Amino acid sequence: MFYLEFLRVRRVFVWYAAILVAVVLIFLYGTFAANHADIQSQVTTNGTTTTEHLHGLHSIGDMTIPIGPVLAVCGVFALIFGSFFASSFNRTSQHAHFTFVRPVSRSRMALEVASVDVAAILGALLFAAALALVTMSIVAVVIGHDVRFDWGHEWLATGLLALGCALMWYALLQAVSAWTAERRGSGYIFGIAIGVLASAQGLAHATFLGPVFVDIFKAILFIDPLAYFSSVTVDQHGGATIDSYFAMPIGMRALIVWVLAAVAIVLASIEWKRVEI
Amino acid sequence: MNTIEIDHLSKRYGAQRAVDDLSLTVPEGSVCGLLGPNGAGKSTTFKCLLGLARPTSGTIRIGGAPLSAATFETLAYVPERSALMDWLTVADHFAVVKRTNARFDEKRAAELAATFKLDAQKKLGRLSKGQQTAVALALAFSIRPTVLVLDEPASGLDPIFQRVVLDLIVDAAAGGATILFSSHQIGQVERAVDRVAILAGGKLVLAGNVDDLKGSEKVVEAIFASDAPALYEFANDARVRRVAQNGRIVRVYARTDPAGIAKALEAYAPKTVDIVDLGLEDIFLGAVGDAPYAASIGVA
Repeated sequence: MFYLEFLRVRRVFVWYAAILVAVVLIFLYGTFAANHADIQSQVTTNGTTTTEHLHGLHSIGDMTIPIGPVLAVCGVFALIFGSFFASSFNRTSQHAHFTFVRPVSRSRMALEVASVDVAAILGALLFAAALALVTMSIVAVVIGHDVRFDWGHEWLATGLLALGCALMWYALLQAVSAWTAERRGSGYIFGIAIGVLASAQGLAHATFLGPVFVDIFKAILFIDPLAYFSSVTVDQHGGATIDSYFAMPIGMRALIVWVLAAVAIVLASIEWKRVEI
Repeated sequence: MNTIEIDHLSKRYGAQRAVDDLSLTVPEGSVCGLLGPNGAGKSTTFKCLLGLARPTSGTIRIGGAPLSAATFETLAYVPERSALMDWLTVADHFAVVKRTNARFDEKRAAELAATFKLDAQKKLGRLSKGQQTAVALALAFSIRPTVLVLDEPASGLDPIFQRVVLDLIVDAAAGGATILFSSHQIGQVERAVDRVAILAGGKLVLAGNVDDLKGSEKVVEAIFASDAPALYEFANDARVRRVAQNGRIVRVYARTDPAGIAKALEAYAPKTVDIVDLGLEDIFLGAVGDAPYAASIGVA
């Protein structure tokens, strides 16, 4: 089922790549169009008016690109990308009269499908990161300034956290959709999951709901990937900090999301093996 | 040797028994038609046979062994409804089968695609129901299977391609393949099968060699000028298994002595009386009970 899943994922990846490239092109156009425009300002001092000509390209300073935060943001892109085929077990079951009558055991089928999906999510993260870095470098080079990559001391842990969050989200959606082979069975699960993803952090702080609901949403945050990197702060020196709802080191957060991803995908595979048509 | 062995298979969905204690064997190299009215349990039997549904009880063996992934190296299945991917092309489907099945025969696949006039670059979603069935058939036959399970294989096909499907089935059987297939088109089944199994209400009501079943009875058919009379005298006649009446036509299914029954019918002054061979349709209707006819004259 490698090939079938590859075809499915490739279709999603083409759209993903096209959208990101389009966003980058719009960004580049906006950046250069704005910065090429001469800015004239007239200043009147003591009755004398002087006109200053400012060229937009000179309005940007040296560029430091913090790798960690770039990877964190790209992890969110990879998470969104993975969401589009995170019900692949369910979708494969919908064609069970074709897929389940191949000389491949369901365990191996699950492994093949998940392998392709995981590789695709990694590819999506790397593609987004490469595109972001290249785009920022182009901007800096065209403007005429040096580019400096700030690897920081946590870029690897951040990258692992970003990938882990995307994989955890993918695996959780697999786990909640694998057990059913009904047509469009995964659609409503996906919808609910996106709703939870978007609102859980806010609802966890909504005290007006009462302590029980707040506690429930706080518990849900453990499976909310966005709760593991809530915000990215870049200081004036180019240094970046990735904050989280959970007060624990980034390495520990990365470990937790990877463990949750592994547990969820194993659970999904077990459920999928038992699917009846 | 029996290639397909189903032993006391039962499948329940909640309180409903979809298949009830079904035992059936299909010998190697034979073509067995699985017949039954809608809801008889044919598709559920296929699902259990192929591991798509877990039997509530009973066992299934194919080629003498329990079902495993390896079984599908030589087993091909065509489901009643298309299970193919709308977003993939015909060529993509062949590529998937090629990559998953070592027995895939590219030359045979090309022949089948040509036979069914398939456009390899067309996406399945753009094909008609009949063409999608044709793709499923081409995929099934492209691995040169030794066991074929076909659920309504000619569904949606025009008469020309229905004939092609029959030829493919007969050709595969001639090559030693064991085939189990279902169809509502009994005429087609009759032309292809050597064995038949009839299900009703999840139970096996009749199974056997078609020639033996056909030879077991004769039909005495009488046509009257006006509505046929009620033939009460046959209700308790040991020679008669069943009497069916439809307007001016009466059919008496004779276990023995068809000539004697024909003579008895002539006493009612019909326009014609003929003794004809039992057809598969007669066997089917007899097995599942064509209640409207039998009830009309109080004979079952």
